[in-house]
Amino acid sequence: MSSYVVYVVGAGLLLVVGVHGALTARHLVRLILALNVMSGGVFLALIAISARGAGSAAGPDPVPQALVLTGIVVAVSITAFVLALARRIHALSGRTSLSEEDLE
Amino acid sequence: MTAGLLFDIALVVGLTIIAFRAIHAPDLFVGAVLYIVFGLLLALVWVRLNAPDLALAEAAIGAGITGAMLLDAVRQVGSPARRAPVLTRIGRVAPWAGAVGLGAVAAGALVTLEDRGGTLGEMVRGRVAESGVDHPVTAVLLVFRGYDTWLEVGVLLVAAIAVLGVRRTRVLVPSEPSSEAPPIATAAAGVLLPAGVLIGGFLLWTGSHAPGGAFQAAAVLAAMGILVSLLGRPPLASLSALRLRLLLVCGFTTFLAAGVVGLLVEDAFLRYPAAAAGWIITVIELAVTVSIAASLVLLFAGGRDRAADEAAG
Amino acid sequence: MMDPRDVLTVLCVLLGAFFFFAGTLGVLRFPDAITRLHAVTKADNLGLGLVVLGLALQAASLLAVLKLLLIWAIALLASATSCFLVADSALRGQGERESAG
Repeated sequence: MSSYVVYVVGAGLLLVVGVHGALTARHLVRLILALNVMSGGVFLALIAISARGAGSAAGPDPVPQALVLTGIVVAVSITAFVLALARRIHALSGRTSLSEEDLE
Repeated sequence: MTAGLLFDIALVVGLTIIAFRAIHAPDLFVGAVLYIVFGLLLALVWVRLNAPDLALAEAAIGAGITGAMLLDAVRQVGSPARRAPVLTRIGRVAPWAGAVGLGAVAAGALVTLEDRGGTLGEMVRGRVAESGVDHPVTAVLLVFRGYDTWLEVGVLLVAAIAVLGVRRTRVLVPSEPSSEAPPIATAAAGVLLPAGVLIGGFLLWTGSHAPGGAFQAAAVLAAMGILVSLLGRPPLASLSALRLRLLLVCGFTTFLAAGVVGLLVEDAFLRYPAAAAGWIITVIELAVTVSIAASLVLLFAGGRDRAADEAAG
Repeated sequence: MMDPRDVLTVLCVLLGAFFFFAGTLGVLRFPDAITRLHAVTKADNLGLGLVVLGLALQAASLLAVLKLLLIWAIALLASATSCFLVADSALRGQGERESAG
């Protein structure tokens, strides 16, 4: 078993936790947490690939690293936007989820 | 089994458990704190996978700034919802089945993925000398895949505009300087702010030849801005609408201008003339750092402006 | 024969790790927010200082030593401030959050 296997299995586990969370969460804050965990899993898969194998003797592949770096910034943008929407929804309707029968 | 591999396994197991508990914590405040822990563990993973640029960015943006946004949002909308109604067996099992199926397929595909070598990394390393910078990740971000980074700065700009749009404010309303800001925090900020600006500048400078660069520098600067916001003095609020907009768009437009220069001089968008490449990259990085930092502060401060909430009723 | 500098580094980092362990144990075992803060702030700052000291012995240049010391100084300042703020809010809220943590 190599580090590569450990980390891509970890990427799969984060995907499982994130997708399950996204399917079951109702509160908007939980939903954005689940989305961020999912994107963490995708980033982990990319970087695990970049760190292994033939090219890695000279150092990891910088292309996936640059992609994930932009991905982290895009993730924080989406998080901020969803949180702003959640605050607005809460301020206007007092609700914190998108389902019809609200839990509050 | 080596100690390194054991550490990797412990890290992955910890990451998964923390992620699950963050999403499903009964108290959202605890969930937000656990998410910060998740971000810091992920930063450790990036160190293990030889990606120090990502570790810096993850710790500063993924854990720090995202965590601050979450904690602040939870304070407003975090009243714990009543427990979800007990689901039927199908309602409980189906999400797990779907998620596990997807994760197993993804992990299976990745584990069996053939390592063919001949990666883009070798091409980048072979030609990094032509790019005008010495650090491969910076070369990819600003030269070889300049498009991606340019549009990504655009995404951040759109997000900042969208947050202001949702809040229905054109400028940030300065909240009255908070009298309750604890003196000890103000005093600590007095030491941290200059140090943070210095570290941000250092990260920007070091990015041309070592891990660091515009994103990490901007994240540290934005953290300083958020610190000041938390002390009741939103740093962007004293700016006129015009100046705020200039700060927000200067990164995107400088990048665009450099692209057009490439189009005119070198016949290709975002291809920089070899003689001036180092300078052009430095100017773009400076402008992008300022814009990203301003956008991140706005994403935080724009979301938390309560006056607009009360006005909306 | 091991370089005495390496021996010192290993000793410092191990001792640092011990203080981190003690601090974490304190967070898990102590009953309320204030005592937990006491454990985590004091023990971890000392642990980080020892790790920094151990790494500084291995540093290639004076600049690297200064960077390590800067990290420790900033961590000290930040943890002292945040410890005070958390303790302050815990006292005011009469520990509403403790039961959840």
